[in-house]
This record gives sequence, C-alpha cells and structure tokens, in this order.
Amino acid sequence: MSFFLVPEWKGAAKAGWVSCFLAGKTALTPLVLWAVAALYAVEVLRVARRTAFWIVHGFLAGALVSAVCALYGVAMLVGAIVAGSLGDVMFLWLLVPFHVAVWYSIRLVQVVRQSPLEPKDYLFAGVSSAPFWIGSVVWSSKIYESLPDQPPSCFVVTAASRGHRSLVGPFVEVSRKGRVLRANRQLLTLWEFEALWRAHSPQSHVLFRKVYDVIGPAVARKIALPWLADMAYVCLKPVEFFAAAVLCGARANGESKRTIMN
Amino acid sequence: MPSQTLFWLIPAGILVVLAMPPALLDRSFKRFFVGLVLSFLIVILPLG
Repeated sequence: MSFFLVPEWKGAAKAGWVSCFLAGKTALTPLVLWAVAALYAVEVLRVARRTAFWIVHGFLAGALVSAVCALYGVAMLVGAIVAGSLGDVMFLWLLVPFHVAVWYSIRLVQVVRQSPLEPKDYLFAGVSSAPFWIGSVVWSSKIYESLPDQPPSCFVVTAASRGHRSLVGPFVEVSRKGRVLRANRQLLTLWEFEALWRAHSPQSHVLFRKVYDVIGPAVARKIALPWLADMAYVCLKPVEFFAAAVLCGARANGESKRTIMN
Repeated sequence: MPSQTLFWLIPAGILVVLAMPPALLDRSFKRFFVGLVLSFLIVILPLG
C-alpha cells in the first residue's frame, strides 16, 4: 500500500531517494517472507520447536526490517505533520510496521531467552540480509532518478514511461512549454494527439482535462515500480496506436506537425 | 465479476488457506477463526 505514497516527481520527494524507499523496500521481500513464515509457524501452526534456526533468524530479520520500516514511517509522519500535508489517510499505513515490529521483537526476545544467540548468529543474520538492504537502497535511488524533474501533466503516460528502458525506450529530449523534458515515443504521440484535440475540440478537451487531472495523479501513484510501469505502458499501447492513426489522418489532411505540437 | 470484488477475494482466499491447516489438524472451528485473525495481523497486513 505504501507504493501509493511514492512522489510523482523529484520536487515532491523532499528527502531525495529516501522518499522513494517506500517502493525501494520491495527489495527486502525475501527477508519479509522468511520472517512472516517464521511468525506464521509459531503463532498459527504453533510448532513445538520454536528455537529452530530458521525461526530465530526469521524473527531477527522480521524485527530488523519492521523496526527500520516503523522508524521510517514515524519520520515520514513527522515530516508530513511539519509540512502540514497529513491529509492523506494512506499515511496511516505507515503505522502497520510499528505493531509488527513490537510483535517480532517480543517473540525474538522470548526465543533468544530460551536459546541464546552466539555472535556468529548475528554475523550470519547481518551478512545474509546485507544484499537485500543494499538492493533496497539502490532501487530507491533508481526510482528517484527516474522521477521527472517537473510535475507531470500527462500523469499516467509519464508514470508508464518509468518502466524498463529496454521496453519503454528510447527516450529523446524535447522542448515543451519552455521546458526541456525527456520523453518516449508513447508520450510524444499522446502529447501530439492532445494538442490536436485541444485545437479541434477545445470544449471536450477541457472536459477531459477536468476529469483526467483528478483521476490521473491517483492512477499514476499506483505505478510506482518499473514492472508496473511496463504493464501500464503495454496497456496504453492501443491508445497510442489510436492516437497515432488519428495523427496520421490529420497530417494526410494537411495538418502540419508544428501546428499539432503547438 | 467486478474488479473490486476480485481484489478483496484474493486476500480473503489467502486468509482461509492460511487458517485451514491448524483447524483441520485439530478439527476445531475456534482454531480456524483464531487462525483467520492471526493470519490477517501477521501475514496480510504486513505484506499489504
């Protein structure tokens, strides 16, 4: 659910790449699944041997991940309160790691009392989880770098262009409304189509924009991961083909590209 | 089927699957419902 809180553009990411940890922490999924399996085994299945190696290390991983996520959630909440932007109910989801962190910590303390851990166990936990933490930082940085420098106007298509470059690329730099932007073919086609629409039917375009400016950002927020952006890009292909066909027809009727883009 | 219904059916199905094994072992409805609540709190909520 925290994917919905990922900023839409660099200016909205007040803490830089750290703001994108909401999506970047997905790299911790293997650790989380391990921890969840351990807690499920103890709480629901009520296994007899609670001090099994995999359960203890699962609790350790769960306590660490949820504690970091809970601290991050608190920092985000404080930041939102200071910025006066605590209107989004989604921020309450950041409190979930808090109850999970308490739960894992209590269980970890109990099993460690029964079967104390040795330094090599902590070393194993640290070394085995390090790649996932590094991955989450790298992923957060990549998501931050992929965010546009300016607030997007074509929210969903811009979000879709944040997919894997091999699928959604190539990108070109274009000048639009006095700004230099990076855009792929899909975005260029739909910008062009929108310009044509605005020129030929301003009333219906204004109506569309009123609806899209409300729905677009909400949909775009859900496209927070590269593979989701890939899916959105593919789903938008029929729209792109339709727009390209309309533009082709417009050009055949003497509409110049300059007119369409302006 | 509306996509919203499908959206809620998936976690509900996962909850039932998670709560089933201990309930079947003990042949107990109580364990099934306790399993449902616990699975929601320790599996669905954190992973969601």
